[in-house]
Amino acid sequence: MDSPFLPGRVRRRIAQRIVLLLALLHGPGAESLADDATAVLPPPEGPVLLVIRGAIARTNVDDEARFDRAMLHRLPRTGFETATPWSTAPSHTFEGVRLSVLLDLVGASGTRFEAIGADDYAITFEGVDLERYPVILADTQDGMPLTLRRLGPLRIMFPFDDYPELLNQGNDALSVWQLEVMEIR
Amino acid sequence: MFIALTSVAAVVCSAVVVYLMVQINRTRLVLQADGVYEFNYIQQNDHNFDEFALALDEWREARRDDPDAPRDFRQRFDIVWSALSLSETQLGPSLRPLPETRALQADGEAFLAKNEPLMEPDAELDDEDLKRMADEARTLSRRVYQIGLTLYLRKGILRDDVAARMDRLTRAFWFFGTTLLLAGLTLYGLLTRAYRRASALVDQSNVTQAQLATALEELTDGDIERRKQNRFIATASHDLRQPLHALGLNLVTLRGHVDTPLGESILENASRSTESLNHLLGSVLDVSRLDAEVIEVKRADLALDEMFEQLHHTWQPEANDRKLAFDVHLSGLAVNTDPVLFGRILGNLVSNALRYTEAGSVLLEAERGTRGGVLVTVADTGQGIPEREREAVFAEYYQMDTTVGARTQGLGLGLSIVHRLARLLDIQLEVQSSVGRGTRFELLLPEGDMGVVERRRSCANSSAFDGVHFDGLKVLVIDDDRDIRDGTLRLLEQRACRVIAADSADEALAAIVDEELVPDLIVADYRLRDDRTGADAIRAVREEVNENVPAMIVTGDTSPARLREASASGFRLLNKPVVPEELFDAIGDLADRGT
Repeated sequence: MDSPFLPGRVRRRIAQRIVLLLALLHGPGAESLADDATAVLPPPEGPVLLVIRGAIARTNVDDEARFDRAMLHRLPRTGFETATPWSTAPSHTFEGVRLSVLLDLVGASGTRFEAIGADDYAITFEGVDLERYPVILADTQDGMPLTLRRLGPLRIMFPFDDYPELLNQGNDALSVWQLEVMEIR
Repeated sequence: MFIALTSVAAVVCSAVVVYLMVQINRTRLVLQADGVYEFNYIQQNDHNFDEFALALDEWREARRDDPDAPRDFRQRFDIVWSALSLSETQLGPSLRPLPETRALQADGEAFLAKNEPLMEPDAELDDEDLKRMADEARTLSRRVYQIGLTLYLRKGILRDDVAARMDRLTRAFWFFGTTLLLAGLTLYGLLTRAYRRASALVDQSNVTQAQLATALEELTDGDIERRKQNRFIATASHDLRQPLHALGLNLVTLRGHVDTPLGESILENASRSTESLNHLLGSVLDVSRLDAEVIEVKRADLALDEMFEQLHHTWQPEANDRKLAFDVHLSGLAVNTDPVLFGRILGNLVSNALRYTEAGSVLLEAERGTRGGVLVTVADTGQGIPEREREAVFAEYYQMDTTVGARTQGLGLGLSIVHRLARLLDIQLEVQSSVGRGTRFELLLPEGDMGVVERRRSCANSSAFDGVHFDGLKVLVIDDDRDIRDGTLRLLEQRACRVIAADSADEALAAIVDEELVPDLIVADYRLRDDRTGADAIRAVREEVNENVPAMIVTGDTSPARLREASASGFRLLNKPVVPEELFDAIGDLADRGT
């Protein structure tokens, strides 16, 4: 029922937009995961943070691709600084896996997917150029892991400050917090 | 006036339209901001409280069978926590949330704080706690639902209000917008018309300017005509002047050789005619000199009575001839001005007055001006000057179309000379005239010092030239005109001068060498043969005798350029025809200085 379909709040810090490229922070497992399309996706060992299902080529549990924190941490990471409509702070630094990387990894074949949060919020992604815009699944904010109380553990985040054209109500609504499931169609 | 009113209307309408736009925009913002965030917040919390209560119930059921059933409600508690804590951005003061929503937020936060210890992993929970928590959560959820309804109604009413307001604003906007448009169009029309009128005026002024330019050109052409005429007269008068000069000199010389009374009488007439001719040529010369601007003003204090008496003496015969009364009133006043030039002015005015008066009288008088100075008046009872000719009479060669047909026609230079001399002497000249009744010229001059006049008079004893003799003064006369040369020679010899006459510088030098003589004085004509000048001749002689011999130049030139040139040579300058007295005066002057 809850939905962040809010128009972009005006207060955005435009200066000091630093895109933090942390892509080198990945281990050997991540390489095999990211680079080898034929490799089998290992099953999760810890608590599952994210489930991807639907039109995907690679799965690890039944017809779903499930990820625990360790698996996500082995993937190439990226980040940026931005203000958000849900905080009065001038800006926060968000880090995580780029959404396009994750979709490539699971071999997603659809162009639409539904993102569902732990609070049962659900919305369908359509027409967002994920190749162009580094939209991420943020798992840290200002270097601290996101918790449920701080709208985590995973949160779809747009680089609003770097791309002011992203500031609109539609993208606000797509910024799903407490993300649990993505269903590709 | 209409333009001003329309402009004011346009400005007022513009202001109103701007005001309306601001109002409409504000309303739009209110509509945009109101409710959306708050409603979203309400919705989220309603769902989260519900789900939390449900999770508690589920766990209570589940643990009856399995004491280690997972405590999922803790996750739901965190979700309630996360959404409720977004109040800062969702219910900011600028969004004007309902007080109920604020109260709910506070109660929700109190609920979370109170129950947080029960969410610890090892917290002991009995059924009572669980039921109480679930009930409280559901109560809060119900309140949220009520708030949602209130919000919905409130926003609905607000929406209606805003809609009505927008309606009014839109109507007003249309009204004032239309008025503004009309005012603008009217203004445009009026301004266009004004512009057209202004353009027409500009065109008209251009035409007038062109006409003026043409008129000016014509006038300038006329000016050129006048100058040509001037040049012609200057040339002619030079040619006339030479024989006249000779004639004057010869007549004076002749006086000593006439024995019979008849001869004397004829000589007298001849002299008078020569004088008259001199006078006419003098006028022309005056104009030439004024044109050349070589006239030097020499101011002095002079007694008007003397001048008046002289004029009386000169013009009484003419007045008698014409059977006119010539009234000269003596005043005992003195004026400060150039005696010679002022004499010319008065002479011209009197001569004119006599010429243009058929019957009656000519009056010459002087009195103190009401605002200082001396007012000299020359008045007649003549035909008068018509208003439209008042300016023209001062032009050169102008002669009134006169039925009187003055017998001694002048050249029409008189008043022009008067006008120009008066300006030169800073004399205020005013004319009052009425046709058929007469003309009155008034001259305002600065008053002179009578004391100075008296003193000078006592110093200068009779300056008659009859007794003037220059004993043995050696005078070199250079003139290429034989008659003048001989005339001058005889005149000077009568006065006991020793004269050497030469027709050129060369002849003069030859004579000096032959007779081994150094002249005391040189009198040279300005224009000599072969483009030589008297100045050149004087310098040549001076070089030969190696002495700075006093010298004077006599010239018959009347052309402004020539006069200026002769004047520039720096020698004492006499204009032909030279009256013998003038010549003697100059000779005496120079000889004194020489010795």
